[in-house]
Amino acid sequence: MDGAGTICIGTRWPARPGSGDRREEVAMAAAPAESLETLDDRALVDLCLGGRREAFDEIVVRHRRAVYRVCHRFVGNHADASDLTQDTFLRAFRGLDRFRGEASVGTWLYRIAVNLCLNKVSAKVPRAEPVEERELPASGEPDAMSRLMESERAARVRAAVAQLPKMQRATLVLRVYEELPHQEIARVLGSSVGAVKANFFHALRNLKRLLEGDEP
Amino acid sequence: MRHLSRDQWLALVESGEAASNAHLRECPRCRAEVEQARATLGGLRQAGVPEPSPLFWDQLSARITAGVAEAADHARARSRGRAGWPVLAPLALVVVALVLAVAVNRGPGAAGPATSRPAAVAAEASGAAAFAAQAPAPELPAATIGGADEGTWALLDDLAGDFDVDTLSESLGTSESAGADVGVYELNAGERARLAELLKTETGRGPGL
Repeated sequence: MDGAGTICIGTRWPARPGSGDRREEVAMAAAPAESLETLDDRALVDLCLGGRREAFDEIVVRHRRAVYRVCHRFVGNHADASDLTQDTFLRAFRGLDRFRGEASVGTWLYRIAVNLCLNKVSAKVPRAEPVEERELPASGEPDAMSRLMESERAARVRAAVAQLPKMQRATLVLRVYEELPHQEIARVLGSSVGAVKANFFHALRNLKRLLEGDEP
Repeated sequence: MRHLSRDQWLALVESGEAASNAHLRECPRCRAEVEQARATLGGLRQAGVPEPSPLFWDQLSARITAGVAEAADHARARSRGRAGWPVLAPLALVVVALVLAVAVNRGPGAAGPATSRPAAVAAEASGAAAFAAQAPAPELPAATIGGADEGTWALLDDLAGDFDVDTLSESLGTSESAGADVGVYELNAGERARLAELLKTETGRGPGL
């Protein structure tokens, strides 16, 4: 979990007592803000639906890194990844009442993020990663050269990933970097396990070819 | 010799159990493919995402929180608007009556030019004003404040005395400068006469009852 702080708005919408709605009952019996950290994601969603908006802040804190990482893998640059991460959470908030709890909150957020990314990126025109965003070592560091080469290699790999067809890219990102099981990836992408395996298989083969063609 | 199926190939690439696989020991082609794929996978795993500035995460959260607050307010306003509409429509008529009464008290000079803005602009002010603006002005009798229609204005003035201005303004959200009062001031003479007729009918004092 990402332990960094966040800004909370303590607005609490009035719940209707005795309405019988479990979400409202959860919200009415809600613990103080500091104990939100101890609740699981599902309980946070219920609290949020009951009017405790700061519960959503906790969801953001827990998942923002993972969502950002997926978005960055897709679009290859910080600015777009940042915007897509923000859009993902805003869309999630607006659709919170449609969250059924069949998948985890993480999977649900991945699904939103991947859909946004798929709409945003074009497999044919991958956007180049700006050089200033790469993690370059300071020239005085003892292993600066090896770190520089590592950074270059990583940038080459990211560029190759960006050239993959969209669904192959999505599958690869979720499988290799987020380590989701095939079943979970199928759920995120709305496809079958067989399709996920086929996409992953072709992604690895295409990537090998792209990286070989890119060797200096 | 039968080579590895796609699923077997993937399982070996991901599991790291290639060394113990009987087929790979005997098939140099599949062994080479699996080894190359494993190398590609290793390269992929080493290619991390550059870490953003430490301040980025809090800024991101702040942006999301602001967006969430805006979305929640918007949703709340929308639902309040839907719920309040049946109550607001009759109240709008009442507030218009009140405003007209104020206009009568100020006298003809204070009402301003009757046609300074199009009636369509006034329509934005309230539901009742909008109704009045849609009335076909040419068919209506000419009327001016303080003129032959003095009885109508007296009626409106009388009606207005029954209502609390602040409560009505708060209920209707018309306390801003561009509220219903502005809309009514800017109705032309014919539209005002038509509005007065409507109000009379609405309050049971009109000629139709």
